[in-house]
Parts: sequence; structure tokens; C-alpha cells
Amino acid sequence: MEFSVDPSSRLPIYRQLGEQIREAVARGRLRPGEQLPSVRDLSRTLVVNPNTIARVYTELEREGVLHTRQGLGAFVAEPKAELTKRARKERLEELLDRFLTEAVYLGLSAEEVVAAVAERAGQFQWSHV
Amino acid sequence: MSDAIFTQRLTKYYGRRAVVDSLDLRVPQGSVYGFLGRNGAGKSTTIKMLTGMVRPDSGKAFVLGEDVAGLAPAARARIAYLAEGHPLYRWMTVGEMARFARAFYPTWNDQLLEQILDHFALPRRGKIRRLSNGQRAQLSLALAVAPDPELLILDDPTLGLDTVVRREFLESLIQVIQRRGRTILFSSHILGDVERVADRIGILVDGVLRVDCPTDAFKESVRKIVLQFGRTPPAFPGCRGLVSSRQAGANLELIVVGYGDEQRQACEALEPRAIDVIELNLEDAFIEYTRGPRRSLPIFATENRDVESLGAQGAA
Amino acid sequence: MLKALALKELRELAPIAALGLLAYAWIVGHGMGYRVPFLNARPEQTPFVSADFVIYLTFAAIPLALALGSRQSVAESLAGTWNWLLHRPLARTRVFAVKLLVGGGVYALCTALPIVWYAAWAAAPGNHASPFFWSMTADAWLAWLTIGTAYVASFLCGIWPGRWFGTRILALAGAGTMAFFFAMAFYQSPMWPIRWIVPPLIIAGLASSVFCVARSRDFS
Repeated sequence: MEFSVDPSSRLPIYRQLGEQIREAVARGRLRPGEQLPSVRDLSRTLVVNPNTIARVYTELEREGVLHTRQGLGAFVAEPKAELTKRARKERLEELLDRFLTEAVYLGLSAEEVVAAVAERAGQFQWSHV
Repeated sequence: MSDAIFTQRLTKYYGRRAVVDSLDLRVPQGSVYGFLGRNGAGKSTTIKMLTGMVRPDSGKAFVLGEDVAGLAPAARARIAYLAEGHPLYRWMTVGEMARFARAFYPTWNDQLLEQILDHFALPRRGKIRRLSNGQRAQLSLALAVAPDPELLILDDPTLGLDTVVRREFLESLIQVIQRRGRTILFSSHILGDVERVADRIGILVDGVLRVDCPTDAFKESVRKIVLQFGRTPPAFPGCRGLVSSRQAGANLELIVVGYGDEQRQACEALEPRAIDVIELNLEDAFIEYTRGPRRSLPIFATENRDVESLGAQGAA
Repeated sequence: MLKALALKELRELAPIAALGLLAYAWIVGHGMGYRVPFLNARPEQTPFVSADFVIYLTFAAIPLALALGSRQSVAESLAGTWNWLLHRPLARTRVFAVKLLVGGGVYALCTALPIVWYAAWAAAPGNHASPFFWSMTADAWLAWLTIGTAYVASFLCGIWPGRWFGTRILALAGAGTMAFFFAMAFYQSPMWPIRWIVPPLIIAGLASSVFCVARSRDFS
């Protein structure tokens, strides 16, 4: 699993890395239980302050994406249904509204958008209810 | 003292110009502090005052809790100083320089030194005058780290190094950072390097510390606001956090620190056709912040955000 | 650590000392009657009576003293190594004390060598026709002592803070001229025992100036 950071981007490094990990988990490139590189190793590979790496891991642990085991490192967490069904539905609607607004401004038709969603969804790892 | 470096209204004049103007610098212990500023902003002079090479005209500086003015020689063993240009005795060989440096210190990590020298293939018998800039930089760093200092002060360590060598130097620096409890202050022009490595940044503009905050906090709060007008834009009356305002054709471009409701209202009051809020990367943010009219810059400082680090992973 | 610093200073001064010794060997050789390039051949020289030896010695000793003093001060500035050296965990006074002692010692030893060598040759029977007494070396030793001030003066000029290099040269030239006139004035006067006291006093004065400057100036 290759990560990269771009200091010249507008996103702070910790956010770039956080998003990359989140996306990797969502796409199934990082599977539950898989171990992430240690803070030390990753900071050396990416040439980034280890505190930044540690911060990303802490945040992701707080979000439930990762969990750490004392002395062993960080692992991808099992997907947990932390939010209630309704809370998740609300959050999804929030995201959808933002996404659909942008899509409308792009001048696309509803069918094009739905088709694109279906196609992209295939690349991600969905939980089965 | 939880600050490895602490200055109180540190001031230095060259002629009538205040090269360093009433500087209150605080570098927390264990942090990596990126010291930024344009040429002539006073970074090097500040660093020289922190190491006792230059005496301030007024104010005080404290390193590792001790007043620099009366710094005991033994205390210097705990502080590493990489002066600009990586000065070394060019007539010596690498090995001779290492032996010479070691003679001054009670504790010396030979293993670490050998590791760095081997990693960069620095020949022990090679004359230092034959080394490239990058190799001298690595040697300097190796010699500075061997006594296991608590504090490292680096004055523009990557100046004059090409891209590849700069990256190698940064890699070495990362390894140095891995050791917890070490504080590092380094001045640099290369914003990308600073963002990778620094926890906090300080920006010196004409001798005054205008920014002193965590690295990403600065990046996240400087914004470029483009107000589009159909006609010649009016002058911007000003708002809190305004760094500069510039007319570009039919647009008014503002650089604002901490863009919020108050600032948005000030913009909307001019009734532009559109308002674009653009994020900036660190380099652009730095450029915009330091090239504007100097006098009216807002001073931007925030306290440390609590960074919890995973102790287990760090030790791995 | 003092030993390491002293050794480093010695190694840096060695080439200059070697050149100085070469020049001195030249002079002694000439004094012994050998045909030596650049110096006028003078047969039947009376060692230490004719002024030749002392004059040549002076002309060789002054550049040696100046070079030694500069090498220890200006060279550090040019290489930017003051910042490195003065950050070592060693008191600044000690750094400068070691430098002065090594540099002064090198000058003193190198310049004493030709005097002793020539005098020993003159004292040995069969080398020349005239009588020789060790007291005849007095003038040579006086020159040795007096030119020692040039070493410390050169060092002081080398660390004197100031943007214009000219101020330092000016100071050195001024001191040199004063010293010259002083020497001339006292040479024939009845007060000439004072000639032995003044140079050490000047050396002490210059040395304490060195420590003063070292303590107070900015090394940037």
C-alpha cells in the first residue's frame, strides 16, 4: 500500500494522509485486520515528521477507521455500525445533497449521474446488511 | 521550563535598522520549529543570538532554561548548532574532523556517527575540501548529532543543496527527530521541507515575528478571497485579519487570515458579483503573507494543539 | 580538549613555520659564509658584531610573525569556522589562550632556533677568526622579543571587528611605525635597558585586548 504526500497541495499533510487511508479502507485496498506501517517507518518513507503520522493514526482511531494495539501498531478496524440507521441515513442525505448540487451545476442529466454512481460504486467495498 | 528556547523582546540593530525587533519566540520542548522569513528578515541574526555568537542590543534569550548571555560552556554540549554554510576545517579529512570534534565532548555516540557516515558513503580519509556541498551538510549534521544533544539549532541547513541532496538531508533529519524529547529549530526557505518536518512555524517579517502557530493551522487559515465586480472595484475598507488587498482588473483580491462571518460580511458589503474563497498551499500562503505592505500585517499566533502520539508506534 | 585544539593550531601553522625556518636557515647559512642566493656574499663576517644577521633576522621574523597571527585569526573568519569553534563546550577565553600560546610559542621557538644555532656555531672553536661572547647575541634576542609584538598585533587585527579591512591594516601599520620609531629612539640612548621591558608590556597589553575583543565582539 503506497501513500504519498504533496506539500505543495492546499491540504495539510495530515489531512492528505488521512483521506488516503480512509479511501484505501473504503475501497478495500486495506482490509480489516491488516497492519499499517509503523509511525517510524512511514515517517521515514514519506519524509514527514513522525508527529504528523501519529496524529493521523490517532484521529483515524477516534473515527473508528483504525485501532491500535499496544506495542504492536495500528490495524484497520472492523467496520462497526456505530451510528444508528437513522443517523447514517441523515448523514448520507447530507452528502448526497452536496454531491447532487455540484453535479447539477456540471450540467449533467440525472441518468448520467446515476449511471456514473453505479459504475464507481463497483470499485468500492460495501458492507452487506 | 517547558520551552527549549525562549526569548524576551530580543532586539538587534544594525545601524538604525532593527534587524530583530522585540522578538518573543517560544519553542516548546520536543517540537520541531520551522523558522521562516525572507532574506534579510532576521532569521540568521536571531539564531546567532540564540547561540551567543551575536549579542543583542536589548532583550534576553534563554536556551534549555539558561540565559544565553551567561551560558556555561558545559551547557553547549547539550546544544547542537549547525551554522550557515556548514563550516568545517577544509584541510582536515573526515576522520580527523570527527576525532577533533569528539575531543570536546564527554558523551559521544560513535555508532550513530559511523552509521550516518557509512550511509552517505563519506570516506574517512577524504579531505573535506573535496566533499560536495551535500556531503559537507551530512557530515555537519552527523557531527552535531553524535554528542546526543537535547536541542538542535540549524541555520538554513539546506541552502545551496540540490533537490536530491536536500531530500537526503531531510531524511537524516527525520531520523534525528525520531528520538523523542529532542527539540529542533531550523530556518529554511524551502516551504515544502518545512511543512513535512515542522510541528510549528514562525514567520519573521522585517525582524518581527508575525506568525507563530502549528504548521497546518497557518495553511488552513490563510485564504485568498476574490471579489468579482462588473466595474472598477472599490477600495476595501479593511477587516480583521486582512493581510493585503490588491486590485486585479475587475477583481479585488484579498488575502485574509481567519476568514469567517465577520470578514464575509465586510466583503458582501461591497456588493460584488461573486465571492470566491480559495485555499492556499503553504508556499503561496507564505508568499502572500510576506510580500504585502509590511506595516499592517496582522499578528497571528495560536497555542499548541494537543497532539497525542501513539507511544507504542513511536517505539516500534 | 585543549590538547586537541593545540594540535589543530599546530598543524595549521606548520607550513608557515616551515617556510620561516627555511628563511632562517638561509640567513644562518649566509652568516656561516656559504654562498646563499639573494643575500650579498660577504667574506670574513664577524658573527654578531656586524649588523647583518640581526637585520636579516628581522626581515624574516616580521612576515613570519604576521603570517602566524593572521593564520590563526583571519583564516577562521574566511572559513566561517569561528561559529563552529566558539560553540564547542569550551570557555572562549581558553580558546583564545590556547591559540595565542601555540602561535606565540611557534614564533618564539622558530625564531630562537637561528640565533642559538648561529651562536653555537660562533662559539665553537675553529669556525671563525674573532672572539665570541654569548652576550653579543643580545641584539638578536631583543629583535626576537620585539617582533613578538607583531605576532600578537597581527592576531588582534585579525579578530578586530569592522567591515572595512583597511581599518585593521591601518592599525597594524600605525603600531608598526610607532614601534620602529621607539626602537630607533632608544637604541643609542642611556635608557636602553628599558628596551627589554617595553616589548613584554606591549605583548601583555595586546594580549589582553585580544581577550577583550573576543569577549565583546559579534561573531557573525
